[in-house]
Amino acid sequence: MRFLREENIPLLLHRLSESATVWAPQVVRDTVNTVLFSPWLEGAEVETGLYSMLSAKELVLPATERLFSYRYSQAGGREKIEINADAPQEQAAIFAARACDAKGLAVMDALFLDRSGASYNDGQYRARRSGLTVITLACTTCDSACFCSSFEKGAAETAGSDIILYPATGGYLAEAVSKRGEELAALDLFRDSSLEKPELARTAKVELAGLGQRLFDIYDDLDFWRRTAEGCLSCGYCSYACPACHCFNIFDEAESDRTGGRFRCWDACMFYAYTQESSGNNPRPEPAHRYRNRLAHKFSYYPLNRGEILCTGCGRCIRGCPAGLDLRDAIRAVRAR
Amino acid sequence: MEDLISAIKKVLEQVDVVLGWARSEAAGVAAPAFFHTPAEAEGAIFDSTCVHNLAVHLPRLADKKAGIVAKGCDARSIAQLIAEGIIKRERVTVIGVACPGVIDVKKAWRCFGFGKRVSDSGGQVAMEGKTVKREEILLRKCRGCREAGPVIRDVTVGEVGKAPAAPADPAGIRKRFAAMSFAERRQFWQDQFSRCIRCYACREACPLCFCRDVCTMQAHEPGWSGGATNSSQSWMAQLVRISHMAGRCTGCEECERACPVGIPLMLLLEEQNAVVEELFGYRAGSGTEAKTPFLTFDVNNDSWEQER
Amino acid sequence: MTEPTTRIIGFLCNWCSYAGADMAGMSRMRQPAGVRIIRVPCSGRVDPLLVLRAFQEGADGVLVSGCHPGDCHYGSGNYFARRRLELLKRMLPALGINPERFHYTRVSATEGARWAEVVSAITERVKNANDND
Repeated sequence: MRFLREENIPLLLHRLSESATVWAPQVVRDTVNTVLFSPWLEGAEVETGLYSMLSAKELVLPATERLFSYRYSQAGGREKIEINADAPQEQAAIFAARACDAKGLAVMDALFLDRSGASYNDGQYRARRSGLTVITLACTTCDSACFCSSFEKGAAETAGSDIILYPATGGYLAEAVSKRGEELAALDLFRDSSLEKPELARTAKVELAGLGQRLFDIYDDLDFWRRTAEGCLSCGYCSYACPACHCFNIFDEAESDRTGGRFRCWDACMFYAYTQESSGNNPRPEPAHRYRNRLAHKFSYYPLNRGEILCTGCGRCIRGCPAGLDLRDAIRAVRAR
Repeated sequence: MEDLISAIKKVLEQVDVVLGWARSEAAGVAAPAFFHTPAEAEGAIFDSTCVHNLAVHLPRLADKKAGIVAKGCDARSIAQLIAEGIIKRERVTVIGVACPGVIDVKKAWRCFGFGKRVSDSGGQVAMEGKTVKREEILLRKCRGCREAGPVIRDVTVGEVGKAPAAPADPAGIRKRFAAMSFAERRQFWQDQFSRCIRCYACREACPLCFCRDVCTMQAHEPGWSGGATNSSQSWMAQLVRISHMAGRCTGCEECERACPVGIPLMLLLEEQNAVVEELFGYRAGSGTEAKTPFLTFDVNNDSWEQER
Repeated sequence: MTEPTTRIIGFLCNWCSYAGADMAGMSRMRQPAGVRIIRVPCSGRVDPLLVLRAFQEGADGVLVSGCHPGDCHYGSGNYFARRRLELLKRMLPALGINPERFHYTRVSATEGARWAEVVSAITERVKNANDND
């Protein structure tokens, strides 16, 4: 194990920023305690006490990204279309992501970078992901919205990270969990240490065993879903904040009569327009239908299809829900039904 | 609390559901609750963490008879919904409560940590040994509160009629904004909306936004705000919402509270509400018979050009 | 060196102001060249958002012109417009736009000369509007 002194943190960030954009959780100016992952500039304070409102997924799946741009031109009396579809080149590092954020990246890797060839290997995603270094801050404390201990490894999860920093007296113990992490840990900012890893946070738990089947059993019980989703306002915050939600929409947008592009942007199954068909029919007309889908996709169809739950227990959907809904209450209600 | 619970039970005899608050075990503060049975109503609370404006749920319950626990500011939204014909007066029973002002829950969490049970008595907000003055973490809207009591109510719990407090600007943002040039303000909004993720929580949390699922903010035809999430498109999307709130916004601040990335939306809505009040002497939600100023006109008195 | 043109988007009602501007043109009256006219059925059709979009797309100024009170082809469109546009004008500072860049007025079908005057005066005001105030 290696050790990083507290005062070396700004030096590490500085070192990283020489070759990459460094993202770190910071309090947004003019707000009370809105913490977001945002590009770190020299001297800026990193907020590690509060959780960020959005997960780290925007580094690999931005809220909007351009897949290609096009330009019409006239050449020799003929219309010509040029298409530019260069993959993103940026190098980025994320500092003080949490184990739940990093695991979210691992969950998305399995989907977007399917190496079995069974599904699509996404070029944009791959370019961003391969340029990303993930420095995870292990949690020794948690708040009451956290529930990562409901999963096998809980706060000790290492999937998706390159290096994990464990809080210790005077600094952080560093454990490399990937090749890139080993390169980082070899920097002269770290020194060898024989300290023991601290005890990690144990969060509230919610029982997930058998949930997938249970969701199938009560799928058609619309009265139940109406009661469960009664307070849902149908906004997209929970989906957008979630480290594992990855739905997107693709559309073309003209920027002038001769230029434009194809964009991919986040979409959320909590929106009415998500399932709106051009005939006018909508198979999920009520918030209850949409809430049911969100829960069942995370805990039932996706795990059944791909063997992984689309939730990492980060608790963002609980902390930030404008309507004060708690996903765990819904899970308990499903189990009790 | 006993008074409130018995009031809810009584109202439940005549309606299908009562909207109120119960304590959320996870968040340690109040969360909206739907009371269908007297047994459920036992969990009802009202304290300074009951920030949510429950009127937002009323349009979706339009085919039912509903009761609702309402603070002064919430009652304005209910009155405005009735004035606009979105809900029917006879279908809603309002349980007006005496409101001591609600706290900024985000600030409380900053002081105490998320999920800590917050108790509030005698002007002190406390949690596990720590206390702060209630004044310090009061929601901004409460500081300029002008409600002596809910404008519309069928049942009243507690003694309504508190003296309104003086407005304040805790984050200092208003003062800074006022001193900016036009160009600086444009840059300010550019920066603020660069964070917008288009989750539309502002719209969904707004009790007066009634288009809901067919909102022009999201429509591709006409493409007011596009689909790409960039600062100027998101800004335009918000201007769509703000302009549609002209003469309708009751200032409940729910959009700003709901915003996960902390965009100070009330800066715009407060300004708009002030202009509407100055021009037309109108405050949305003042009564159930009022007519918004933009649905009517005054041939003789609407002339501002002469002032310039 | 020629001065850059002050680009003003004019939303003109079909029945009065558009005809007034036409009249000014036919009478060969001198007027600034930077006004781009968009004909609308009535000033009541001018959603404040159209004005804001014009600014967003880079217009230096926006002018809305409709019928005189009492002359609206549809009876009351210009009365509704007046309220909305006045609100818009007063909101502009908060949005970071100098209110001197936006004007609304009325010009009738026979007032070619008035149109030329209005456009000249407004172009001058827009030109002098400073966003660093």
